[in-house]
Amino acid sequence: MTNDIFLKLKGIQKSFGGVHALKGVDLEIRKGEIHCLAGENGCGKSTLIKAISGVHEIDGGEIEIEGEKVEKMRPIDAINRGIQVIYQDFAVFPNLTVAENIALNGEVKNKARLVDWKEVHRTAEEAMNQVGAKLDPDIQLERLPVAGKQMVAICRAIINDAKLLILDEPTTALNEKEVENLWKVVRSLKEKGIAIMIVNHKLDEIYEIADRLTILRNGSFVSTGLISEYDTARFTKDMTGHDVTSAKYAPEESGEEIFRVEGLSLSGRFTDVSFSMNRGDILGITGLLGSGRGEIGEALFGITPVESGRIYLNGKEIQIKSVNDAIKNQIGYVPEDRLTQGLFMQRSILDNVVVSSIRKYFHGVKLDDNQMEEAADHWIKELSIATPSAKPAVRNLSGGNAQKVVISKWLNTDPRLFILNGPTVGVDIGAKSEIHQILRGLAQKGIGIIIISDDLPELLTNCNKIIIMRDGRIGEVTDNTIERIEL
Amino acid sequence: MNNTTKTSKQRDDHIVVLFGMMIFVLVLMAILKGKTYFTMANLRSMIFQFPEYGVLSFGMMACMIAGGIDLSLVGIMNLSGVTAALMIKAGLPIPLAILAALAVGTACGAFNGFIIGSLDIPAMLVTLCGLEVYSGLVLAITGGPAVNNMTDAFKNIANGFVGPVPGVLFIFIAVALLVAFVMKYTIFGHNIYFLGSNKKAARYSGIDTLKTIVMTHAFSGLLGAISGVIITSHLNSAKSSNGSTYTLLSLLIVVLGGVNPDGGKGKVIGVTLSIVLLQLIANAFTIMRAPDTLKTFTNGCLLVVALILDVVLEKRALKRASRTIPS
Repeated sequence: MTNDIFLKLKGIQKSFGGVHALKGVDLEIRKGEIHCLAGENGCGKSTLIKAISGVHEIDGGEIEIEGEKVEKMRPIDAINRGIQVIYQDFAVFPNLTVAENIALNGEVKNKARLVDWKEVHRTAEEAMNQVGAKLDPDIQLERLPVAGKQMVAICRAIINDAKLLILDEPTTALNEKEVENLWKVVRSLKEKGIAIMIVNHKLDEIYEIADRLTILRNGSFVSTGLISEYDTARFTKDMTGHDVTSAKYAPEESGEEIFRVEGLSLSGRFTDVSFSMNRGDILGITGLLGSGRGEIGEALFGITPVESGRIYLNGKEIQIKSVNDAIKNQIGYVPEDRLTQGLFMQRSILDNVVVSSIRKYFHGVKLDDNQMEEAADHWIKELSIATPSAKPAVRNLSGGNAQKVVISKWLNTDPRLFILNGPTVGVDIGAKSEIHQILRGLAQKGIGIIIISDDLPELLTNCNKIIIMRDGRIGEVTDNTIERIEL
Repeated sequence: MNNTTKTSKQRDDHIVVLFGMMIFVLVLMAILKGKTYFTMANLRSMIFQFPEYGVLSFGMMACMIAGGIDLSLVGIMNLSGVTAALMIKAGLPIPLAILAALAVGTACGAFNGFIIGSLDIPAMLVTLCGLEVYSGLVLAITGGPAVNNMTDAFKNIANGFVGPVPGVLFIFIAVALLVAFVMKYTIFGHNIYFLGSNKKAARYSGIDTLKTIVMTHAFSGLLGAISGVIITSHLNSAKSSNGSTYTLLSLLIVVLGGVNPDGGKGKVIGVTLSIVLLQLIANAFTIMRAPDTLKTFTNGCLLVVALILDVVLEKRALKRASRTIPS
């Protein structure tokens, strides 16, 4: 039995400055198993991966690989022992082709001075066959969707003789079909005896793929076991340390229409989209990537305006031709990609909160610093953003807190309609349910809330009306009494 | 208090470093050449020199904080200078000549900004073309030789005194205060920081990015024009090759002053200290009769040191931040 264990960690400790990121973590990964590592953001998952891959030197504890104790693990040792990590940003070269990305590494390692292009192609094809990926080897990587880039990264890991493949939150940017495909690949690698560790905190995905599960909380080991030993209640409890209730959102029927669109079209994106929502409603929009779900949000916010159709807000027809039009009509939008579209990472929380409402603070000849600070402090308190003040740069915040800053930015503009595209992507369970509570509160106050998401459980619990987009058209409209959504 | 408190501790460290460097130069000169360095005459000669490229550097600063760069500043400076010079020579009143110069500079900058923003061409390329175009225009207008011998009143702008102090110092201080106010207390100033820090997020936050880019470059052009008036008055001459070293010098100044070449960061106080520091050093070399090459070398080393220090300080600040904020 012990021979089956590929990696064994005992009491791993790591601290940065005064912060104990890992306080004695145990972990056992067996050959040919799919092991999920779960925990809220900031629980030490990333630090643990970096300790395993040799990026961080550990302060205490033991690492054993295939029964052999490893002293002082460096990144090269980890690679030589077959540990390959696929991070969220994949570390691939966007301007090189698929084949080059997969195979050039090996060429460099063999100290080849000239590149043997036939060999490169052969290696790449072989890796893709092994993994079961079907990609054009000559296409430039930047032209591939996220899922494709991920496949390339996996191929690269495989030709480097991976024995343990670590995937850091591999499904965050994938749609359901792509996730399914990824699981197929992962299972086929497992068949080949490769150990796989997946960092994930979506319970439904863990149930689908994992054999065993280890949960961390605040840098400490909480529990480990077969996936069958966990039910939802235990999982949430182990993750958060307390029970999280999730009652379905059911507002009182107000009958007062606040937002309506008729026949919205944007060529190549979506066609003839009509819906309406009443006061108190939270409307969910879902669908596969490319079905038009995200594009509707971008259009209503004026990033890529609609070409035809009518939009009515609080009974009045409005025109949205630009972001400025949207803001003038008090429409707020939390974009899909928080880091590149939503936040100014180097700027302070204060700056990020007031950016879209800064006009309010311009009196006479200058901006009123004190008023801006009051506004930021107000939202920090209101949304319980974990920070000592409004001054630190947003990059210091965790995903959940950063997302609350984006939400504050729009709440500070007094929105009448608030569209959120993937509001809880990369946000841990605790903050996720806080954000959901905030949105429910806003809807009760009469703000129209539209959640665009591929997180179906999220929509089923928090929206009282759900639109499913298929190929740019509304495929189905449903309430949240159903148990499952078919995309 | 806004800018000093809201940017991370790191910039304040940067300013301490600049102060330290200034004190180092002053102490060193006190030991080596105290008697000639610390004289009223030498102080005055320094004050006469730095305002023209100092004002220019603020333009560079604004563009760089916005995530761009303005390599055309010297071209704008000379085109504005020639505009003023020719109008003075034509007998028009000084205020009118100055206004025309400022209008020309602002228009040149706005043109740069419009090309950059509307066609999405990198600022570096557009303003490099701008430098050639505006310098070429000066040559075309003057036909080659400098425009010399303006009226005494015009010469006095940059050469006159207010009491014992060269008047141009007050122009510089006024410009520095104006720029600091714009960056700190206006929506436009904040938008410059937002744009430079994340252009996409700026758009998603409802900032009119094209307008901000045009305004930033127009602002830079205005500052270029002010320095054009100063240098033309100072040298009593306007031509296309005036201040040809100022492009690189102003780049050196803003980066040394703590402006992030990637945009989003930088303060007027840092740039001002950097201007003064470089003037102190330049003057020290003149007094020591050291060769110019040595000065260039020293400036280069200084910049490298400043950049390395920045990285070190940034790392320290990040560590500190990760300690104070719960995740």
